[in-house]
Amino acid sequence: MELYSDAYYIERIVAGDTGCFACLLDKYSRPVHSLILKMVGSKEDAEELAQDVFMKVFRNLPSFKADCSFSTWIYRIAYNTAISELRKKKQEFVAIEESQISNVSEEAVGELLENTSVAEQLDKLDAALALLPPDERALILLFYMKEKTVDELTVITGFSASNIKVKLHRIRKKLFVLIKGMEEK
Amino acid sequence: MDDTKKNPDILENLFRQMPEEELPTSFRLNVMQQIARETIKVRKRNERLGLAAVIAASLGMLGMAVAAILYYIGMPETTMTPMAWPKIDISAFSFYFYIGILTLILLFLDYKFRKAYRKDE
Repeated sequence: MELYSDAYYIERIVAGDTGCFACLLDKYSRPVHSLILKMVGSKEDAEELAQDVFMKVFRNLPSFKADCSFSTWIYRIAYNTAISELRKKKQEFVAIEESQISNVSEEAVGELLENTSVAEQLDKLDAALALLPPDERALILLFYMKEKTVDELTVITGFSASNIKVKLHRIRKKLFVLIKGMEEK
Repeated sequence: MDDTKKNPDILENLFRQMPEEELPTSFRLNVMQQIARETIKVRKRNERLGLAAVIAASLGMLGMAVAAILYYIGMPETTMTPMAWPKIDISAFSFYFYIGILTLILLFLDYKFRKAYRKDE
């Protein structure tokens, strides 16, 4: 159980008690770092970007209006920081044909994965995630791993709710295609 | 898509079991050190701004005081002396202009040749 709420710590930090930032850091550093690491793929870059994120959070804390949860706000900063960093680097990703996306079914992938161990399944999911563009990777991770709702995702990414639903549907299908491809190999 | 959250699927189960990466032990210390530095920087900036505001206000007050004193005492009488402007010899201007342009052209050519030479290297 948490001793104090985020709002309490934010109030203290804005009032000048910067030591309280350590409490927010303890709570959010690991999930933020893990999201950035999954997005950028490099440990060194992820650590540097996570530090940048927390410095931005600290600098902009007085402007946090609490119109969304603090975690959503912090993920929005993390998402934007990682995306703008990745835009500087030219990256190539696998192109998946539309026919493959529409033909793959969750059941078929489920059946294929049934015979493999959880560790193997996780390895395949990790490998499939690595083949997705970083914005799609972030979206699916925020939805499943960070358990963010579609409404929260609209705040984090700036996309509309309908756009996010379509994107999530397509990303899921893409992951199924990629995992199926790995299983068949 | 929210429906997907209500009915667990393969991906949801897998993502739930996905481990979070460990953070480097120095991360917390590094961030807190950066924050301490940032706090000092902000405090110093605020101090400097405050000092600048005090100096500006003092100068303003001093100016107003001088103006008020001069107003009550009266402006000292000054003798108006005509200003003498130095006379410039315009005939030599075209020669200086020619030399200036020549220097600029030579500098430009030198820059271009150096650039081309470095590119070749």
